[in-house]
Amino acid sequence: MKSLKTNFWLDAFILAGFLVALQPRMTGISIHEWFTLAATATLIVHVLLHWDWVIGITKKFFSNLFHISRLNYLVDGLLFIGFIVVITSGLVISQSVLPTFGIQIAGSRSWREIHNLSSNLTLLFVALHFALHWSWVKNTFNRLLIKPFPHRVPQARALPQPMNTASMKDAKAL
Amino acid sequence: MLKSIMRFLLILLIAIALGVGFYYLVQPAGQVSFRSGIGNLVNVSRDFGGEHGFREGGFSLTRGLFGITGNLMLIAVVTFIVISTRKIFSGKPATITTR
Repeated sequence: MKSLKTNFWLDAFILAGFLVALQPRMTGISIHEWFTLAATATLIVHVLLHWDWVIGITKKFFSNLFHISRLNYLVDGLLFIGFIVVITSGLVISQSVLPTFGIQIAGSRSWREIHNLSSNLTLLFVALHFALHWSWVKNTFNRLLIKPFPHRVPQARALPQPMNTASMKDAKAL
Repeated sequence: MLKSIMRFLLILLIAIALGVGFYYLVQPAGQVSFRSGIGNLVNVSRDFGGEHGFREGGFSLTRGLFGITGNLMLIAVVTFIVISTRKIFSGKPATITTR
């Protein structure tokens, strides 16, 4: 349960962070760059949390494998490569991170185009990754956020009350 | 714990290696120049002003929120398409009714 909670909240933060990082207009370039660089660590933690799955599927990839796992693996691989391209091209056109460390790379317009294109493609892969894990997202959301607050229990039916003497008399009179 | 740290470093190393490889693949000249001194923190604090244009480091919360909403909609559409496709091809046998 603890790891489920950790996974869920980490994934939720990663998704939210990714959506914010995709909008540099929202934060300004400096925050965008530093924030994205910091968020890379959370992505690696995400992979670490699913390390056994990655190793297991890597070993079995070319053998008999349930097709959804293989599709997941391919999407995740493309996602990983996509993030690397986004981060590399982002660093090349960096206006804040690398200059802070005294490094200047002659970034060109092509690098900017690569950065834009790769981030759009990565968004698509993130959407696919999300969609392929939809049932897990739905179930975990229900388990962590809906079920902890139990629905209002309907009031128990009133038990038949013992009849008092007056009502017994009434009954006899009937 | 040590195992996790080693794995973390391994993934980071793979990512850096792939990133550097990609950089040299696209830009073989590798025009990197180092300036002396670390700590040009002016760039960090420069971009907090909203009155500047984006290229000058400005930002717009409204535009950003619109963008996030658009991206969320894209994710929702892709999720809907994938779920529908999986349902269509799930291969569940049709319900057979008997008398």
